[in-house]
Amino acid sequence: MPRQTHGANPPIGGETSTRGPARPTEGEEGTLPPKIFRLLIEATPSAVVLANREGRVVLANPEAEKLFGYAREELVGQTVDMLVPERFRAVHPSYRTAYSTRPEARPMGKGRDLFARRKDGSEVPVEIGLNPIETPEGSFILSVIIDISERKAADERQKATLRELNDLRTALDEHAIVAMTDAQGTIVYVNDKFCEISKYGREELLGQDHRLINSGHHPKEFMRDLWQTIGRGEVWKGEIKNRAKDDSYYWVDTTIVPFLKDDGKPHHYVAVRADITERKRVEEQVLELNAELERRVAERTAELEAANRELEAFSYSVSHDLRAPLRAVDGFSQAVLDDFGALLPEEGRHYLQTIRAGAQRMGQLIDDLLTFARLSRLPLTRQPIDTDSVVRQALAELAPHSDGRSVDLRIGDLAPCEGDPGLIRQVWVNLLSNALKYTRQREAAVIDIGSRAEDGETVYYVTDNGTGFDMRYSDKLFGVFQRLHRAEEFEGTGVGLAIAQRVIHRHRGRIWAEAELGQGATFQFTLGTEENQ
Amino acid sequence: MSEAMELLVVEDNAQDLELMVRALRKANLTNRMQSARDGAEALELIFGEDGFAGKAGTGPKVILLDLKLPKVDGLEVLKRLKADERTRNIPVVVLTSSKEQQDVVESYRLGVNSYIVKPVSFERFASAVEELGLYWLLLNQPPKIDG
Repeated sequence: MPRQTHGANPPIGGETSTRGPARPTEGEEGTLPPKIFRLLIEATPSAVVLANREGRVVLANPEAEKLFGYAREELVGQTVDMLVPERFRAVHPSYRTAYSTRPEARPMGKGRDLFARRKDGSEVPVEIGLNPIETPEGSFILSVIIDISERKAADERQKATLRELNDLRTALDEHAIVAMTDAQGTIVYVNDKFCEISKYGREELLGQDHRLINSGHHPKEFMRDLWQTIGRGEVWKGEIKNRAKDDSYYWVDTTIVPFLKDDGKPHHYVAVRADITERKRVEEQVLELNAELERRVAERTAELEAANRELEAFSYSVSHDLRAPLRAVDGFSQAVLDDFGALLPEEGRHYLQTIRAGAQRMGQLIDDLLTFARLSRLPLTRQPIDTDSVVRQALAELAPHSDGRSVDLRIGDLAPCEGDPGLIRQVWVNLLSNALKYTRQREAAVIDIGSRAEDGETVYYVTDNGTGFDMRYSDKLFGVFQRLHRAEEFEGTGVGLAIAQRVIHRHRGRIWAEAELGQGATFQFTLGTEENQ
Repeated sequence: MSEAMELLVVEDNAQDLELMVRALRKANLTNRMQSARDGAEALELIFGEDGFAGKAGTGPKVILLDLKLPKVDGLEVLKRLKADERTRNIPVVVLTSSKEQQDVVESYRLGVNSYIVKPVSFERFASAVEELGLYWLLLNQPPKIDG
């Protein structure tokens, strides 16, 4: 709140003050002629008002006119109280009297927050210098008044800026590790967080450079790049590993901002850092885990590859070596039949035929097993497939099996698909040959083949009116060598549906069956798309 | 064996060999047949001191070659046969148990003339051997080898 301490005004007599200028300096100039005194007052670039003991204005210069908004004639003869804001007017005369009784020179700036009242009632912040002047004509008070509204506004702005800066710094200190160095890198400022993380006291850091906390982790080129960048006046950003006083390490995400002189050379660097030790630790852990994982994957891959090679060698060996003895069993049984058949009783010939049938069946089993095993090893190639023509070709191939039978083949719509042509063909051959096989006992076999769209995918189906099967055993249907019929009823090795299922699964599709004993069966499948492979 | 051989069978399995001989005999194709029981013996017969490679016009009309052989395997024998000017034109039929694609592909890459998988069933095996013999010995017209 402004305090009004406007000085009293002891005016100098009339217009002819003979005493020298205000300051009672030891008679330097001697006596100043009144004319010169007047000119001086007139020329002074600040408002000047001379008042007598009673506080009445005796003299005012043009600057005073300008400041207060009164013409000189309006001022002279009036008390200076009229130039004081109304709220201080009551007390002003007493201040004035007090000053008059103990007058002393009071320089500018002493006693703050003074206001002058202008003619239009507005107030102006001012500074006032008071000088008592003793003359033979009596005591006067010379007031010099300066309008400080500009300066006050500037002061306010500066204060606000400082406050803002201070707030920002408080916030920054709260968040970041801050240090400042001079151009040589000598630390001239550190905040609490810097001390906290480096575990050094402030006095241990100031005057040192950052070598004190150098961890030795970074290569020379890294540090050189840092110094070259900021030396050029550019901001450097990076992650630095530092060593604390207790030899522990910490990581900081660092931004170094150079502050430049007019010649573009830095005079100070401010480094703002964030503690990222924990993040780095987690990152390193992740890297370690990844490396470990990769190592294990490589190990497992090698193991799998070895297993695969073994499996291949195994299949190869089965293919080669297991079939040769069977050929001998079959071949020499036949040789006995050919050469000595006549010498054998009927029963003996039957036994030899049985031996041959067994050997041949085992040969078939081996072949099917190898085919099945090969399915998992060979890579899958997806191509567009014209399902309709695949199905017709398969049926043509199977036609000899239904020679002389009445088979009503109803081929419906068959949507094209994408898949491995050889494998998909095999699925159709297996499903269709099953349908033909299990309708053998029907007078009029009916086989329905087609596809339909369902839930955004295509379902292919083969329905027959054959012998069907008991749904209680449906879980065995797709197992290798699993059969739901006796060999005397229907021949087969029990691999066909296992192969079909494996092919469909390798295409990311599904295959399922519905049947009723004696009423026929329906096999359905879908083929996955490339995306969900 | 004064007369030039007509058929060379390279087969390590005695039973298979016997069955082949039996089938060929039935077709009257065994009179000038010779056999080798492993890859090394086959190479000796072909490229050895007394081998037919050195004597023009004495080579067989066809070689039936098993792949899985002791000492030197069938693919190696095939490679040597097809790499040599003197034996390159002799037809080689691989007759093996292996259905493995890698064997088929490799055999054809090396220049095999035919690749037959031995069936388990004797009838089919016998008829395969018989047909082979008939085709290569009687029907096939090989190019005239120099001299």
